Amino acid sequence: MTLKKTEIGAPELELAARVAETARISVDDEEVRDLAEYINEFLGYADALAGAPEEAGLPDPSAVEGYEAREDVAERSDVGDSVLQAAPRRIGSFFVVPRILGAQDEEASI
Amino acid sequence: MNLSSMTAAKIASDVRGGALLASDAAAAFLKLSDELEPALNALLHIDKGRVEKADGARRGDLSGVPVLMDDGLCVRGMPTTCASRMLEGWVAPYDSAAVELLEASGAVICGKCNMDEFSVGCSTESSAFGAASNPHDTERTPGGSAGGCAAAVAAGYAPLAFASDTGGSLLQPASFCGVYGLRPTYGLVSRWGATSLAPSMDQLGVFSRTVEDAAIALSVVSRPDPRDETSDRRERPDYVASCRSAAGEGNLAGKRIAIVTEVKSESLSSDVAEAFERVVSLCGKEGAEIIELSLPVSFTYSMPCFQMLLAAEAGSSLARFDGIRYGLSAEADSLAALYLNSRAAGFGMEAKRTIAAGTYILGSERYEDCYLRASSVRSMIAREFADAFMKCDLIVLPTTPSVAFRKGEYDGDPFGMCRSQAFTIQASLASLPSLTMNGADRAGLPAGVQFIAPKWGEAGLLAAASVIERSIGPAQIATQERGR
Amino acid sequence: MGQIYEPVIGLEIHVQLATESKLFCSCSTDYIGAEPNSNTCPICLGLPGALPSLNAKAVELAVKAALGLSCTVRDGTIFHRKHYFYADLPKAYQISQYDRPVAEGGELFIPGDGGSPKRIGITRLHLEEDAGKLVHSTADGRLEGAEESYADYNRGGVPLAEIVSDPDIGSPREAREYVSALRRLVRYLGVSDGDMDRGSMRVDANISITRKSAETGEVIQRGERAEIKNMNSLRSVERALEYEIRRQTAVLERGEVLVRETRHWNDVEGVTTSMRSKEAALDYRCMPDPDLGPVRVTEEMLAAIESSFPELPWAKEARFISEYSLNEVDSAILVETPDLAEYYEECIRSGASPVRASNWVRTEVLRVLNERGGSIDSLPVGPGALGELIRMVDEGKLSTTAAKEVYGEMTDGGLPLEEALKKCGAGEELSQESLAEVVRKVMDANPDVLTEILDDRDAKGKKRKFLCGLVMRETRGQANSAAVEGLIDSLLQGR
Repeated sequence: MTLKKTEIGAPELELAARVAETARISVDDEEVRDLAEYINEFLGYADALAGAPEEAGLPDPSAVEGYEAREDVAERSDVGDSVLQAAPRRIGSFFVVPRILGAQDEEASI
Repeated sequence: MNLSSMTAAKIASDVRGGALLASDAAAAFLKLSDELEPALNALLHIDKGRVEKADGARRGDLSGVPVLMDDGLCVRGMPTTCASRMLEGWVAPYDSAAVELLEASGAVICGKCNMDEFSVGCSTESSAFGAASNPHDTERTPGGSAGGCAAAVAAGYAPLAFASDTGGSLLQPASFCGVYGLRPTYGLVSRWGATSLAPSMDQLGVFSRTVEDAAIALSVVSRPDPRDETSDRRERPDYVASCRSAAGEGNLAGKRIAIVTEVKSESLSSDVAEAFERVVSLCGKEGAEIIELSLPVSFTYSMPCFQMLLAAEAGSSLARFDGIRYGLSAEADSLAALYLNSRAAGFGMEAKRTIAAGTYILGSERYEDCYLRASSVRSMIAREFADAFMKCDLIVLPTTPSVAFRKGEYDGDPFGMCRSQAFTIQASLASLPSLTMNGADRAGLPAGVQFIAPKWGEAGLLAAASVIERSIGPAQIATQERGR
Repeated sequence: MGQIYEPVIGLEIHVQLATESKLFCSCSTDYIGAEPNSNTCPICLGLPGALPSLNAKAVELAVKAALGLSCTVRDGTIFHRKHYFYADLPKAYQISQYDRPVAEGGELFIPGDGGSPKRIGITRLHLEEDAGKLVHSTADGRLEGAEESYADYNRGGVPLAEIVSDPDIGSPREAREYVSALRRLVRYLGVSDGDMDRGSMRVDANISITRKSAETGEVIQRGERAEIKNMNSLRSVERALEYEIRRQTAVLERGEVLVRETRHWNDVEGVTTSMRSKEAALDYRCMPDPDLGPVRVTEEMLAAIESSFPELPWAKEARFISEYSLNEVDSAILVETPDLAEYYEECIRSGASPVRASNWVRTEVLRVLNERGGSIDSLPVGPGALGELIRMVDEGKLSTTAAKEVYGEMTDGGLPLEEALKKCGAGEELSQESLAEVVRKVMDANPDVLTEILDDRDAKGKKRKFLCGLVMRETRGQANSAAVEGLIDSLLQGR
């Protein structure tokens, strides 16, 4: 099965740049083009799937039968301490992050 | 006896019996890997400390057996890099469930194996720490993503190596390197501690050189685990017993083994076609009834279905790498820059492509025609296999359409490369167990042939494989002279 | 042509579930005051290879809340990953629920603006994990201008139930009633302590204004809605909505257009300010979480949960009104928390009359509780002792004034009832001699009354009762009125 390849134009490049931003990966022009080509060819899979039969309501193949949820008992893990100790940026018991508000404000507080 | 060619079963039994020291087995590992690593680059880490303490290992089914873990599996105190700059030097603070079970059974975890970065790829060439080589022919890849494990076992470093399989990341390298590879039913082995790629399809399996070793390994690691909600709780049968009794007197009489109509020999390379014929004919000789079944949905739509789900789930699994709590943390004067720069520097291009595709198709514009569509096609594929297993006991098909390809052959052509997974994605999609064996003449390059069993059918799978193994033999330690 | 501007309000309330451990790991939920990042593990830190493990109790409590709201509970609810990048979110996705939540379609009744009960529809209830907490480097702790921020993941993963109401709420007052009623319900069910101060109950509002014809009621225009955040008390909810109604109405009156946005309530300044335009709404790229299967909620489980229901607040309120002859206002106060209601009823079981006990609990007990803080269990005077004290007042053994003094000694001095009575010199049986002394004194002080009695001009006994009352007053309620009457009779004979 060969996937179709269409010409990469401005819309495809823009899409790739937008997707990279959404995925929080900084990309240069060459990489944008690479991603645009990849996504473009990848979408051939969507076309291929469109030809598949339709059927709803079938069970999920990876679903596991009869698992039991966990009993509500608090337990301390010491792994948290070692992660904190090895943190890339740390002050005291906190992980440090650089300036949050900038050009892209995405304050998504609950 | 050359320690490197000893099976896990023999090492364990000799160590338990006092005829062999675990430290000697571990020393053999060190010596051989030292010699061959410059050519193979199958390992990312060797744990000299554990090797030195080998004689202190517990007594159990794998007493003193040196084993290797794919670098996507967490081992406390060892680096777990997933072959990525993102986790370069990151030392896991906790053990995978498989590691806990292996150490409890006496195994000595000697090191971590090379792989495709974050398991994205089919050749180990996307590793940030250099590609691995196929021990049968170092110009060729060992396959991927778990290529390092396959190469290590094929080269004789250790009798067992463990890795996660998603769509063939274990089965395909096993095929390319001529070793036995077992991917269990989804949910049989705990995924606790195994870096996720596509959580609905990832499953931990084992590389070995004999079927019995695979059975022993499976019996050790296939315990239910409440830490993994997808881990199944049912009782496991005695895999080793099934295996041994079949190896002794068993045959395939009464077994219906199906070949798949849609797998045409035209789509296979000649060595693969030949290997496949050999194994099918052996099945017949052992008394099996060979039938033919058509699985049109599974063998037309698996690739697009698998790729969609893989990308979506992988993009999600890899979102957590952001330089805040662990891993590569780039210079940045803002949070936005921290994300953008860390992820740009940490991931290789292969991983970035998969993340990009996955991120896009989960967006509201494409969610329905990409992700939801693939999900429903997946359920149809699973049903098609379930229906097929009403009419047969095992399905036999080639593991890969061709033998190991040359390094660089698919540079710039990721879609071409993933065609080597054409026959391994189905087991992932349908959550089924599969076992691959080298059906090729031992003089040529390995060509894997796999048996797919119904869910929870590992005992039957291992038994059938043991029967065939009587004829094709264990996987041989690769030497460079072969396969040119 | 007259126009009216009608507010349309819906509330989204996050309630922290009263579990010991987090939603998907065994870390403790007791994060307030804990050392930062001390309640963390591979799961809630999002380490490679870590997998979520669902807390059974969280599911039970969510279902309990759903049943209390008369929702339809779903068997086979699933979790979704809601993706976004922020420093308080370790996995870069929140495990939440999307199109197959725990429960849908319920209701909650509140005292409506019209005076009769009003039904507020509940759209849905779902489970989700909380994010961590960020502290900012600025002097005032605000995000704006902070060069650095500090992440504490102790709160990350704590179980939340999000309860979304239909836009049925018609005024700030009704909004307040709704929050209050929901808070009462979750406290009653033991689902949450519903404490807005401590963040175990967080309220966001969606509000828009509909312009209608005053004559026909026909809708002329529906304004765009705004989401209001940061209302941290019942009062703030009311004030913020009042402000928003004024603001939005003014915009519409000017003929301008409102944009869909999120606004932040500033309690100090008394205004809402725009946070970001919701037009550029985040696409969360929700995907079913492959690490978690559908959650089975069987008929048996529902029955078991329902049978563990306590009497619900509105039922208790109605019962107090009928059984104890209380009025609506007093009853509402007494059922505010299950602890308080229980305290009240325990007083009655210990002998207190319901109405008097109601007065005492609503005044004295609540006063002490407010002064001291803490829980009802930590009060110095238990309901048994208070009940006995109130009974003494009921029986005339003690005046209310005296009783309050005694109560004071018990509360401030920590004395038990017996000793407090002694210390106040109250409730002691006076000796016959001292009592007789008092009776004589009263008689001597009221010769006219005495004469009337002796002259048989006290057929109804009113004069005798009058004297008795004086004696009781003199002894500050310490005397037994029957004994006093007896003494009066015997002393009269001597006169």
